[in-house]
Amino acid sequence: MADRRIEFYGKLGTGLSWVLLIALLLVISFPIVWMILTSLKTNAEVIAIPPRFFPSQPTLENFILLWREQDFLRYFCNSLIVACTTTTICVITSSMAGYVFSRFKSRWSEVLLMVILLTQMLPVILLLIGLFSLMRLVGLLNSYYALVISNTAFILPFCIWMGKNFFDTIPPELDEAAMLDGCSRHQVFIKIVLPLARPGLVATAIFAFITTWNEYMIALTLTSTDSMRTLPVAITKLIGQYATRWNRLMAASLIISLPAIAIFLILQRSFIQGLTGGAVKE
Amino acid sequence: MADFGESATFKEPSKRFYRAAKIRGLLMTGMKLRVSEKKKKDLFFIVLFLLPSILVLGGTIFLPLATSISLSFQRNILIDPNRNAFLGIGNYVKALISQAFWSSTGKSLLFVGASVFVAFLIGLSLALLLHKRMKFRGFLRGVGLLPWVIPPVATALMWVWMYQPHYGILNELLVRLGIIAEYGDWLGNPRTALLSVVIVNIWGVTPFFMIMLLAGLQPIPVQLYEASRVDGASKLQEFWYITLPLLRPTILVATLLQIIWQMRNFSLIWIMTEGGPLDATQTLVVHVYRQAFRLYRFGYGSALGVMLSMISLAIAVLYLRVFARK
Repeated sequence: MADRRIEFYGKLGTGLSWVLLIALLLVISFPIVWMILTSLKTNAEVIAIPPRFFPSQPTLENFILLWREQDFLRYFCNSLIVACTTTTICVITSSMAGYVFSRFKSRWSEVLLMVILLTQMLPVILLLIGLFSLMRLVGLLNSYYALVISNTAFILPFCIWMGKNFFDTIPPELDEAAMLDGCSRHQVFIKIVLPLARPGLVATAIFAFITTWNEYMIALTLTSTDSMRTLPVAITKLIGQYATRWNRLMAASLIISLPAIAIFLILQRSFIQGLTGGAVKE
Repeated sequence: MADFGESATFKEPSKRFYRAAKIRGLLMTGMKLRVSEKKKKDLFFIVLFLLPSILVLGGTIFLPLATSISLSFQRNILIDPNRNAFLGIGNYVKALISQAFWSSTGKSLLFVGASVFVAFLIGLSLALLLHKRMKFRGFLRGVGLLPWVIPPVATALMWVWMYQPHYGILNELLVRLGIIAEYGDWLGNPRTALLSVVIVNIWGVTPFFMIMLLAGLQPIPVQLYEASRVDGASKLQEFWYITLPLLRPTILVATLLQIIWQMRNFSLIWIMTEGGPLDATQTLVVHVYRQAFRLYRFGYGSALGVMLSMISLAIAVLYLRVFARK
């Protein structure tokens, strides 16, 4: 069946199709290429008029100097702390809830899951106003707590969904067999099901981490001092009124993009294949 | 209860009957106890494992939601708390008669409509092109997916740099290609700002359509095309009568999702223009944010947020009505 598909669609032979495809992809990738090229330029080259395409003296100084700057390190750590904490909480909580939803199916569990998923339909901005008010009341504004709690709120529902689906792939007969042998539910969960669900847990962790790392609006709203700002928020403040060090800015943008790009490169093959059917051989 | 049948007289059960009944009763209670033991243990487990999630979601979603909605019925200004009051639907009325509300809603619709439509078209083209077998297909698909992978912050900054009036590469390219005569201030000019932001959004959204439509193209059986070839159909007819209709569910889901998501797209616009210049790019979300977190009008901001939700819901329902024919 797959072979027939290949046979039939044939190769992308016609020149026109190739030209169109390459042209489209070149245009799409241009901004990213430009970002990379800019990050490799010296201060003088970046503001050269007219703009030159390739750096004549490519340099890594932008990246290096970023790290030397005290502030950048601080922002990076903030992002890292918030992302790691959120991820840990989400993975633990969602795997527990996902297991329950997977093993104890009933009408109320379906309703509950639906309600949880429906919360994803609410616009974050609306919830953010309430969150801000409540945080202010409790005095948690401008703290790691605020960021972790808020990010968890918007990531958890989907994590629970992912968790449930993943636990569904592990047959409940395994649980029952273990319990017949005398295991309690807790032991079944920790010793048997969890290790088997590791790929799912990893996926959940990656999703939670990258979503939190890239997050902008919540961090922007709930932090008010530089010392608490996360990387995305802090970087945008680097656009000065009069003079901006674009090369430094592009280098910082690349650093922010690193987790997402890294995961993407690692998973690219299986991700695209998984989404579009791996039946067709390359 | 025992059925005494037609017998009208009540026969006193024997002592043996009572004893047997007592034993049976005890056995049943015993069994019930054992069953409910297990059920109780399970219930304890369920509660224990669900409690963290319920608490977290309750406190971080439902509580703030209730807070926001209740705020929407008040005048609640952070920096001027003396004027706080209960307003009923006052905020909503204020919004409906405010020019800013309608103008920002209009900009939202423009922003969403243009972004989703164009991104869909380009994504469809890419999907059709990449559906065929070719060398480096995985790599090329990866390239097409890249804009989706880059975080919105980086996207916004990357494009702000490209749009830069004096040193930006876009101006240089356009001039060299002879499209424009001199450098323009794309993000600073109220007439070009919205278009510029829409272009960036299209760039970021296209990969989503590409990948969704690629996935939707996969299950289409080859036999359909073969049969149509036999009947003498042209490539265009193949596309219009076979591919498109079969892609319909995928297209519907993908566009609906994007419409809902783009209605709330905040980061991109805020980082690039903060809604300016002169409110040229102030979509509804940006308007809500500005009211709530720049002017600190929590009451009015919440009301606007609720209206944003209602509008999104209305659009979604309308969209499904029109396009999801059974």
